[in-house]
Amino acid sequence: MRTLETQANTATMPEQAASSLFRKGFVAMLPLWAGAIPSGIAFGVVAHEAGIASVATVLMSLLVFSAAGQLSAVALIDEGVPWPLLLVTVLALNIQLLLLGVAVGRLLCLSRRQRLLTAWFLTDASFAIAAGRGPLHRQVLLGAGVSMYLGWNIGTWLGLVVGGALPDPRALGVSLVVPLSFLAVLMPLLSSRRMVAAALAAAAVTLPLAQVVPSGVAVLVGGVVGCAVGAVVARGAAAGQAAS
Amino acid sequence: MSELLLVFAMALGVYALRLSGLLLPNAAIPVQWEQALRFLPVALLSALVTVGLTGGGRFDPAALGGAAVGALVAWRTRKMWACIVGGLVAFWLLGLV
Repeated sequence: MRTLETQANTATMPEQAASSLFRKGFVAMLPLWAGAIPSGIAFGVVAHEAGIASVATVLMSLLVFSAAGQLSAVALIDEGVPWPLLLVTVLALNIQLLLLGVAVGRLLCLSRRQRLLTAWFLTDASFAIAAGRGPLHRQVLLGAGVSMYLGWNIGTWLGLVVGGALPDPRALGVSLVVPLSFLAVLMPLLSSRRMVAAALAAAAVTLPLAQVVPSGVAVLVGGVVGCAVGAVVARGAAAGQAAS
Repeated sequence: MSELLLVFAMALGVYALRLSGLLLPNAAIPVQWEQALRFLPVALLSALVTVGLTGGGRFDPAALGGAAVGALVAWRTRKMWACIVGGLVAFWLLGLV
């Protein structure tokens, strides 16, 4: 099954099309800049207000590339939280990246060097964008990731330079843009009862958990439970068919 | 200076998370899990939507209404821009009420 998917990918997408696939991913991410740039601005502003050196703020967006992780890190620095605790929190907020990596690694056949590069630009949003365009392709995923990276860093820089003069972008609902884009990818995937069951189970587990633990942990647990429920429903359906 | 050290530690940790899932060889995934992993994209997306809308005790009726409209638009049109625009317009309109 896995080899079939891989073969289909290489057969339909020749190597010379790599740059056009990259561009496809890059452009597909542009609507999400409506969320990424204002969030980047918000990060730049709060980091500045917390008294964090500009060079550290810029480097954080260049190297860490995680909105949830960076925004919470700034808040925790501001509150004087001890650093080991801060680091654990930032990692817990991003722990769903583990599952994301498993999902991507399973769908793509990557060399070691490709894994290093793919990992650097891997985010929830780039995965969603790439998974929403037919069979997952490395260049589409990379293009979408680079696009998000650029938007996030431009936003950070804007926040540092002109931040205080701008109105609070969060009042305009820009924080809704990213969840909406996830929904746009999710809805067409809900084509069978087992997929709906997996999605509902994941949401039902994540909802209460997200109120008490860091978001990454809630997503990780919700994702695993959703998979398990989907598999159980699928097995039940197969057994039912065998019986009848 | 010490701030920079913290930034590097964060960067290293988050990159390690991004990479370790990708480095897991396919052979390391038990066969029984294969079927469950087919649901991973759907389950992850659903969990991410849930966190994005309600994480940390946020329950904004206008945002939830906007998301519901966005979901409906996505289901009917399968277009991302339509889902984002529809959801945001609904959010703004609900905010006016």
